Amino acid sequence: MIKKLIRYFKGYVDFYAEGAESEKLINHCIKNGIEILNPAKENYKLYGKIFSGEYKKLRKPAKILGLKIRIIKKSGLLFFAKKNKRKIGFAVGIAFVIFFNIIMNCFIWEINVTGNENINNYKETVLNIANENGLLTGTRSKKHFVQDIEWDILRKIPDLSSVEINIQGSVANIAIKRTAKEEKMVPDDDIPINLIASRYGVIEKIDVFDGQGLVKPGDAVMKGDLLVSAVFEDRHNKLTLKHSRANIIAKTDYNITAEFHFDQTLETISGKSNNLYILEILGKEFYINKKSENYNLPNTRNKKKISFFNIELPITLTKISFFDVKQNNITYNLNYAKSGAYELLLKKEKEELENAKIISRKTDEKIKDGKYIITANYIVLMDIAEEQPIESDIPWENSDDMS
Amino acid sequence: MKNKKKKDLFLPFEISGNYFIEIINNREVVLTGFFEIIELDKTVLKINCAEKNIVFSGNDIEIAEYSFDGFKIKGDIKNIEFK
Repeated sequence: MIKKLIRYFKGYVDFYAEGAESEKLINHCIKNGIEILNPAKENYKLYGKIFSGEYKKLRKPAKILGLKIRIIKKSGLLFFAKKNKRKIGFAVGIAFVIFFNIIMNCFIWEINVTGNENINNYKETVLNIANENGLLTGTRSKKHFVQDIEWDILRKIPDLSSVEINIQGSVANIAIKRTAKEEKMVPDDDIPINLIASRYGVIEKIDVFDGQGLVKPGDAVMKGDLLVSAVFEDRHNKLTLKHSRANIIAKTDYNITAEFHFDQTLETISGKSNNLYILEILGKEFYINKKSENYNLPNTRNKKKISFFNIELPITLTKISFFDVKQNNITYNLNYAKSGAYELLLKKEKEELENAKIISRKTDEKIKDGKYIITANYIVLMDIAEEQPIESDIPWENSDDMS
Repeated sequence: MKNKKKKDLFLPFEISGNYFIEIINNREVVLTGFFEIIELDKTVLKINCAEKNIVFSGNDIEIAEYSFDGFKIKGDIKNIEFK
C-alpha cells in the first residue's frame, strides 16, 4: 500500500520496449540501479513500469540495443495535476477552505458563561474580568493562561466557589459555581444608641426591646424628644449603655404636596429612525454606514450573531436605531391637570407612607403660578423612633457579647 | 582450490561469484548473487550466473522485484534446471 502511494506521488509510466533482445535492457537497468516494476515479456515486447523521472535514462541504452521504446500510459499525481490544469481553481478553493478552517480553529469565536442558578448577576462581571485578562473573541486560543484567569475571577468575585475555563476549538466556556452562603450575623450593637422622636405626635404603642423606655402610650412628644434611653439602670443600680431598640408607634400628621404644571414640554420619539450597522468580526468593529453624530438620542440596540447553515460564525451584526426626538408644548386643561396632580400625590403617598397606617386624609386644591397644587394632610400611625448615637464614659455593654 | 579459498573467506556473493537460491514454495523463489537475464518469457526465465545457466520454467513467470544483488521470481514454477 505504502509502495503504491509512493509510486502514485512520484508518478510512473507504463512502457514497452520492442526488439529481439529486450532482456538486455533489464540487465542494463540492474547494473545502473534503474528500477523497472513488474518486467514481463510477451511477443518480443518487454512491458514494465518505470518512475517518470527515470524513463529518459532508458532511451540511450534502448537505442544501443536496437530497441523501440514507447510509453503506453502515464499515471500518478503529477500527471493528474497536469491533466486537470484547468480545474486548478477548484483544487485551490478546497485547499483554501481547509486552510481557512484550520486557521479559524486557532482563534476564539465565542465566550460562554455557564453555571448553576443565579449566575446572571455574575455573568457580565465574569466576562469583564476575562476580557481584562485578555480572553477576548478574536484572540488565539492557545495564547491564554487559563489558570491565571480562573484565579483572577475567583479573587475578584468572592461569591464564587469555583471557576473552570475550557477552551474547546474556537469556543471558550467559563463554568462558574456560586457558593451557598448562610446569612452572616452582623452585630449592630457596635455603638450606644438613644431613640428620639423624628416628628411630633401622641404615642399609641411602645415596645422596647433594649434600652430604657421613657415614654408611655398617651404621651405627647415633640420632635427630638428622648423616647428610649441608652443608659440602662439595672436592679443593682448599675448603669450600663445599650444599643436601644424599640417600636414606637405614634399618631401624627403628615403633609404631601403634589404640583402639576399646566404648560409642559414633552419629548416624544418620532417614528423616524436612523440605523447604524456595526459588523464585529473577531473582536474588531467595522462601521457599515457612516457614524451618527447624535449619540445622545434615544436608541435601541439589536445584536445578532450571523450563522451559516446553523453554524455560528464569529461575526456579530449590531443594529443601533437612533430615534428623532420631537419637543411638543402642551397646555393641559383643568381636569387633566387635576388628575395628573392626584396621580403624582398617590405616587408620593405610596413612596413616603409605605410603612404607615393612614387614618384620615384631607386635601386642599389650588391653582397658583400655572400649576395645579394639591396639598394633602394625613393623620397617620407611624414609627417615629430615630436612632441617635451618644458618647458617654459609662461602661458600654454589647448585648452580643453577653450571649 | 581457488573456490575453496573464496568459501573460507566468506565473501559476499557478488564478489565471490557464488549465488544463493531460496525456494519458498513453487510460487516464489529468491535468488541472491550476480545474475544476468538471458531469456524472459511467461513460461521460461533463463538466467546466467557464475558460468552456469539456471532455467526456471512453468506458467506466468515474472520478476516481482529486483536489485543489484538479487531477484524475486513469482509464478507457477514447475522446473529449475542448471545447464
